[in-house]
Amino acid sequence: MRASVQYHFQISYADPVRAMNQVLRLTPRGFDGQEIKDWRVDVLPDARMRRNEDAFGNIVHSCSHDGPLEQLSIMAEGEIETNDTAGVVRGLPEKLPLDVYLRHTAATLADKDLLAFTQDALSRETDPLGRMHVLNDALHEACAFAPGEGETPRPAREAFASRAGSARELAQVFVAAARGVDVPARLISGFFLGTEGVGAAGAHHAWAEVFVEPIGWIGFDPAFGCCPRDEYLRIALGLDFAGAAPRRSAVFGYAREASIAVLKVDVSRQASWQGQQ
Amino acid sequence: MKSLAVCARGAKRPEMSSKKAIKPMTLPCFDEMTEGDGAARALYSRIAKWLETSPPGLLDSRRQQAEMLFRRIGITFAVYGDKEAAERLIPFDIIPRLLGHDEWLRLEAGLVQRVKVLNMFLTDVYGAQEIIRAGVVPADLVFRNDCYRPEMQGHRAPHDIWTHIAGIDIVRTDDQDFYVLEDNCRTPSGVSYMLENREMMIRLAPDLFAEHAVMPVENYPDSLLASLRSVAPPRCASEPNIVVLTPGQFNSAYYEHSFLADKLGVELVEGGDLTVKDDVVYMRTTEGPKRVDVIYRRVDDEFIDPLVFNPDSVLGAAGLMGAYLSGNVTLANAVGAGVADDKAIYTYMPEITRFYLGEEPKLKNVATWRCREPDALKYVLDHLSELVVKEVNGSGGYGMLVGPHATKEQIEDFRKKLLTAPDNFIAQPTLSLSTCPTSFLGGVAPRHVDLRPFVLSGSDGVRVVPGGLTRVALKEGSLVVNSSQGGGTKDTWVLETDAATP
Amino acid sequence: MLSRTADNLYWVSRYLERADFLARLIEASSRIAALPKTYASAQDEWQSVLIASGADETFYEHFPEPNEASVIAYLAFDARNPSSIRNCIEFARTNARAVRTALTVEMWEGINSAWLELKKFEAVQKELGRIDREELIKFLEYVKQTSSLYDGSGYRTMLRNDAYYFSRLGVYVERADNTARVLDVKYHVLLPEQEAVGGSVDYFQWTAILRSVSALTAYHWVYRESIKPWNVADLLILRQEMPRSLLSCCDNIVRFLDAIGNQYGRQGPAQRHARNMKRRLESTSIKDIFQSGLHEFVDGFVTDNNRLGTEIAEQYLIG
Repeated sequence: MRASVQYHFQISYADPVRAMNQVLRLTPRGFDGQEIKDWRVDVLPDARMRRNEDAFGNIVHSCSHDGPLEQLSIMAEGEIETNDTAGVVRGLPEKLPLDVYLRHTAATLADKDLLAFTQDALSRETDPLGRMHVLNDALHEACAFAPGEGETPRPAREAFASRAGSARELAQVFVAAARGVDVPARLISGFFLGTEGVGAAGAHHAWAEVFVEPIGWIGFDPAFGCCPRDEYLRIALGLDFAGAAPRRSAVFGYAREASIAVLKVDVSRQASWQGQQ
Repeated sequence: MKSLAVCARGAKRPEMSSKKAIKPMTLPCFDEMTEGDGAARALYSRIAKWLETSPPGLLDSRRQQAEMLFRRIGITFAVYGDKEAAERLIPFDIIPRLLGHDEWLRLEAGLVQRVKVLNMFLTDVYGAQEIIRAGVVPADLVFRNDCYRPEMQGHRAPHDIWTHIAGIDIVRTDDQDFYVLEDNCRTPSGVSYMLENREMMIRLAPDLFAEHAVMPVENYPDSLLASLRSVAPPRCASEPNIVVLTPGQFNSAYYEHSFLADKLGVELVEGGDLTVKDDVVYMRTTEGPKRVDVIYRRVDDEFIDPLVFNPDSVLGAAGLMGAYLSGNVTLANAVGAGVADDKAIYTYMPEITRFYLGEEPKLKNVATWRCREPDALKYVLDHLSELVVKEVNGSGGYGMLVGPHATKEQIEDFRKKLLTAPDNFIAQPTLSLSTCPTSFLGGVAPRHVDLRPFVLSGSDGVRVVPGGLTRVALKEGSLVVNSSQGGGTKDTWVLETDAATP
Repeated sequence: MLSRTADNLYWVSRYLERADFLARLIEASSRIAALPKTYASAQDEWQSVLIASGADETFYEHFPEPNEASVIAYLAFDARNPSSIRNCIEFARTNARAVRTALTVEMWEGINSAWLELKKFEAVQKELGRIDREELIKFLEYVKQTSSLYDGSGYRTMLRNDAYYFSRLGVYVERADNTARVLDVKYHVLLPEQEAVGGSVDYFQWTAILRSVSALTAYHWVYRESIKPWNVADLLILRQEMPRSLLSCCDNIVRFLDAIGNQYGRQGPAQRHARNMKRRLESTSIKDIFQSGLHEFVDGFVTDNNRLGTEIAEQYLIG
């Protein structure tokens, strides 16, 4: 699917902020499943944007603002083309040893409950890839998907205990479960470009990837109960959501973000695009 | 006579509150003052005479004097969760611990080698990973380690120095060998006590001090400053602005942080004093922002930057990691250095030393069985009642087993844990640690000691000031030298003369 | 220097100066309260002490009415009163501890021993279960010594640089505030028309005012006559040679702000504001003040002085 993507994020502060630092993971990288033809990230008010590649291979922009700052806009936009690879992720530079993706983080530590659930679900399947499909289906069935991607996600065990969660929460549950049975796993943040399945077309989305021999990295989306298709724009990866978050920021002083005013992804399907499904 | 099994702590913490439980046994152990027949070693002849000839009560009054002075200067440490006695003194023992010059040279050479290897290991782990590819150290021990920081992978620390200030915990079992009990590559504390103890001894026992040719430690701050200056970012043209970063005055080692800043002649900053703008670190001053070049940070990795690590931390500065990774500021010690001092990695130090240097380690490791290896596991299971079994990365809360002290039930319990997850455990024999004469109310008796020398690494080489912090278990038979568990400290005298010189 | 360091030094001085003032205020008021009813109304006295110390708002959350026992307990030892002597010393030490490296050993040891002493006093008081007058006198004495010791050792041992200037600045901003507060609470006894009515009652009020700013002896040296209310006001507001007068405080504030400005090569709003305050005091007389209203004058000064505090903070202490 070929699309022109526009993302606009706006924050206002109740009290003007004296100074702010932020990092943005809003730049997708190309691989077999997606081609990035043109992409840029911008902020308003203007600031010096520094572009770096982090240890995980994500493109990270960071910038500093001096206050007083009452409102902040972040724009990301570009032309992309995605293909359905049935979730398989090939053609990305892998910078870290696989063992890293077996690390437990506070947000992705499986408790007894989740481990028992996972082992129970997997007892029916022996094929490594089949097991991950089984796990994805089981989690999709057990946990209700409750869109709400603005919040800081709860740790996996909490989300699982409530049997419900946002996409990023369910993805963390999946990651925790997979690592719990020694399968390397990571969390992916990105955009959902489709119109099916979510309330509004175009929103922040998050899913998981696991490493299965001999295929390699392959995505699973427990929120929708499927593998990522061409409607998924893959942006950043991390050990948990915090590591892959589209934005992290810190302000000087006590000012808190009063409201996150606009959070939307516009996908305009251009007349010229040709579906490749 | 007492001897001990030293059981290093569970979850490793960088501060002095690290826990060392030790268990008394009935084996004879090496007393650093006396020969087997009870006569004083030549090294300690003057100390022995001093103890004999001191009028009764003198040691007591000196000890009280020391306590009064320490309290007035405010050399206290905070105890977490203890509101009543939030500021305590670490007991100071007036009888110094002595090392002959020859003994020190052996130890020093070993320390220099050890710290070189630790830095090479860290450079490799975060770089080419040759030691892992060569199969010397298993990948999972490194990359799944709590203290490994994936964020640092591919980053080269300036001058390949990761642990600028290392504290190597040393124990002795005879007059020959020094054993490394533990490496501390993150933010080892205790050096302020090493320096203050010396001041105290000069004040309280001037004659005794004058009779010995004691090598000075007071140049430690100068050495530290030189090391920190040597690793300043290359683009920092003039005199680098160096600061000490403390979590604040409620941290248990706050006294030390302020002491060091003072001796170094640099600012003691808290997270709130720092700002980062466009990858450059500044401190807020009365004259506006001032650029910072080197940060001797006493804040743990997880708290230094809320944009990268713990998002709720206010102990660091947002954007600090960005400034660090882009080379605009040097952090000492480097982020992620802790992976080298993990218990699991410790067991590989002899192999690691051979791998990088092609030479034998000069300091011994305490013998260790890695239960992940089938033969070792078999041995450990067969000898559970004699061994100390410790958890490797201390995150699962399984604790440890002190074989000689455990009931049959506890041993059987532990056997099950061990069999379920052998990878998580290592085992060590019970060591009989050395003792030193120690004074307490109404007498002098041998007490178990360890030693933490401080090793400094800069772009211009490795430095060790002759001495270190001797920690002493004050309770009879106890092996707990930990300050929050009733351990005390002694001044450590490295003499200009050899141990055998009378 | 670090903004936080300057902030801490400034506040150590303010807290110790406040503790010193509270101690003198309690002493002076205890004397008035001990007088027979015909000479003074004790009830009002404790109420005005509360107002002068700035503790009147929170006091009633914990006590039904002001009397000797409750007010002294609240002002001296109560941890719930943010400005109690006990808290002043505690906060002063906390601030001092945070800037150990900026203090000289003498200053730190002075303040740290004071804190240790405070713990002892608290233990004694806890054991007694009430405040013993003898203990109280000892305690107040010790509080005054503490601030003198800190002041004196700072004067004798500190390098004359910004650290010293900020430390001194704290003393004078706080002192000006304290003197103004006493005037504000007692202005009615200083008004001329009150003299005819009040007679002897007010005489003791005047001496109490002087005592609370340790100026009773100074009064006689300066005026060489019996105590007259306009002289008391003159001494506390306009006499340059009286160390607790508003003018003397302003003079010092200007001096140390200038020293800071000179060291940094840059003046700012705080300097300009302080100079204005001083100029206004210099160009007025006690007659003018009484004519346009003592109360209004003092009120205006307190507001001005608070604004100065904010300006100093904005310019230097927040960073």
